[in-house]
Amino acid sequence: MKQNHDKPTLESLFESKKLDLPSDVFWEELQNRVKGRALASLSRHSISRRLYISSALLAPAILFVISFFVLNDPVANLDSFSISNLEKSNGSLPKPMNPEDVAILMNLESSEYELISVDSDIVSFDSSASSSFVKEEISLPTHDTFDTEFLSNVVPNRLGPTARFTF
Amino acid sequence: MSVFTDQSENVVGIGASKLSSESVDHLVSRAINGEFEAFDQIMLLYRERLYGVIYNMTFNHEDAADITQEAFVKAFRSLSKFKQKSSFFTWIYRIGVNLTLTYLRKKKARRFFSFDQINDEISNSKDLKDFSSSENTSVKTTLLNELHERLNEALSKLSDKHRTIVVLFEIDGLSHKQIASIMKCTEGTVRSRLHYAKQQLQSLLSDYVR
Repeated sequence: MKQNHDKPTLESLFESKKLDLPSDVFWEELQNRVKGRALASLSRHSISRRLYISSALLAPAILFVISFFVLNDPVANLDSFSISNLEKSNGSLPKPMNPEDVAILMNLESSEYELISVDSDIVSFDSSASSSFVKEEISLPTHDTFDTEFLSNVVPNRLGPTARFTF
Repeated sequence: MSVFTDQSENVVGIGASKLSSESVDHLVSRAINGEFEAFDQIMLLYRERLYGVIYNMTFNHEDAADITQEAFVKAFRSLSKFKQKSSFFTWIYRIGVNLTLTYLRKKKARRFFSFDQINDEISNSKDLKDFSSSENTSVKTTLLNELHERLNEALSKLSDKHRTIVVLFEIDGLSHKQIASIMKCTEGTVRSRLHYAKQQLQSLLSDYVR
């Protein structure tokens, strides 16, 4: 058992503990490690921040593009696309011949008319025209002959009849 | 090496690196503005003291070095959150102490924190011998090392909070007020815990101290 006067006090023991510190090499290494880790975290933070900003800026643009394609997709809107709509949007398209006109033409004897020209492909129709059949009589020098033109229910856009018949 | 002994907050650092609190505030402001050199200077000021506290709480130089690193890195990352209302000194100490307490809790939870292990670590620590002064071959130093080992043993028997307060007050030289700020408790609590802890230590080290 040691004598009491040889023993240090608790306070002096604590005081001596203050000297229990690593060497300068240790501190240098510690400083460098902290520096490396701190700068690495700064770099990671910078990259993640850039990604965050980029995604924040790009997200609305990407959403806009996606919504644009979804809303304007021609395949998705195929149901609403039809010939009738196309016709409505384009008044210059030819309309089918009136069945009544076709029936009159079919009942005529071949000797009763002389086909001069039938060029329906280039005939344009006016959608505002009346649907009634138009018959025009022309006075001729001889009484037994006359020309009759069967016209469509629309006004042709060029001079000349659809057909000329001689009786 | 002249070791920091001033208990006031007005002067910080060790030896030649003593700085006034105004200079520290300036360094902190520069560090907050992104100057890493300023943070490097701050580390120079606090690293030894913070390491000393952490080491005397963990009794392991490797763990103390890791936690000190972690504390500085965490402080660097959180610089923008530091409100300059309180002192930077208190703030960085709180980070270090909290990290150490968390580390000790985890270590206990893993049941690796056994007294025998600490004794082995202390006894077999080559670092401990290296960390002594150049006169480590003398008998006096050997005796001192042995006393330090006994003190570490006694400290490790205290609770984490009691040990932290003893280390901060007796070894690091902080005031009751500073410890209360770091530990987020009242000065009265600090005083009573300190009194109890010293009684315990006196009893545990009765064969070695008077």
